[in-house]
Amino acid sequence: MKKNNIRFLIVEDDEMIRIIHKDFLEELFPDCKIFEAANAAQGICLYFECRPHLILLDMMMPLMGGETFLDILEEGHRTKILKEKPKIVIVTAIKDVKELMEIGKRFSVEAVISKPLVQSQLKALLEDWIS
Amino acid sequence: MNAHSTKSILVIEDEPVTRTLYVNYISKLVPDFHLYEADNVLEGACLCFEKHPDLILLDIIMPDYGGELLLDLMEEGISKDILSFSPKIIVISSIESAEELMTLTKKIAVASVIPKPLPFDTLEELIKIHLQMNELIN
Repeated sequence: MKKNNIRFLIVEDDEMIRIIHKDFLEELFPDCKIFEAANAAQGICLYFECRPHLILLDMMMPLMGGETFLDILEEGHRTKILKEKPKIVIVTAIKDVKELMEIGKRFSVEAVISKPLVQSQLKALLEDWIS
Repeated sequence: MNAHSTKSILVIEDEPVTRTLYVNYISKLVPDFHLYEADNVLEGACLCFEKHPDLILLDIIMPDYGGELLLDLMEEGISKDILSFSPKIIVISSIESAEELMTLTKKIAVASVIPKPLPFDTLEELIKIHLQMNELIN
């Protein structure tokens, strides 16, 4: 992935955390575009409208959680309606190891990071993918 | 509306026989329309966002995720001004409680609610009204 014009989507209900993610990404990639969603429903709509390369996804959110987001993209991929494969980083407060492992196996999920987010972990991942 | 002048309709229904019935009916009614089919609402949502159909026939009661999922997606997408398109959704529902039907009718994206089994005459009229096909009404 090239760092010019890279598009990020942040799906997270907590506005403070969204701002922290956003500031962090903007500092790392000044030319990036960032889209924000407060739940998975907004996230899905933004996904299809803006085609982000990379998604930071929270799992537990009101109205619609991250699980549904993954279910929709997975079905889109299975039925070949969806052509591209974004990179998804799950940022979650879930502590159950089995549950975390299941999430890690889902379509397009490249990494699962626990909350509160350690920015150096995310930075290391992003720098690996984006040049 | 569609980028091309051809209109399109998406049918989301889990029951294959019923779905075929709807599709056959619609393709006879409006032969030059694009028709898309989905057997679950997850696939339906992907087709909806990818193909921007003008009209969607949506079954409400389906296994796993029900039709409400698409209504929730559209409601957020439309009310938050995220979506660049806004299909008319005709909800097909065998729900019998008046309260549930009213809740469905109030959803932003829902253009009409019709009962199941489907009255085809009503469907024909609704398709023409929602797609403003005046020439076909007369």
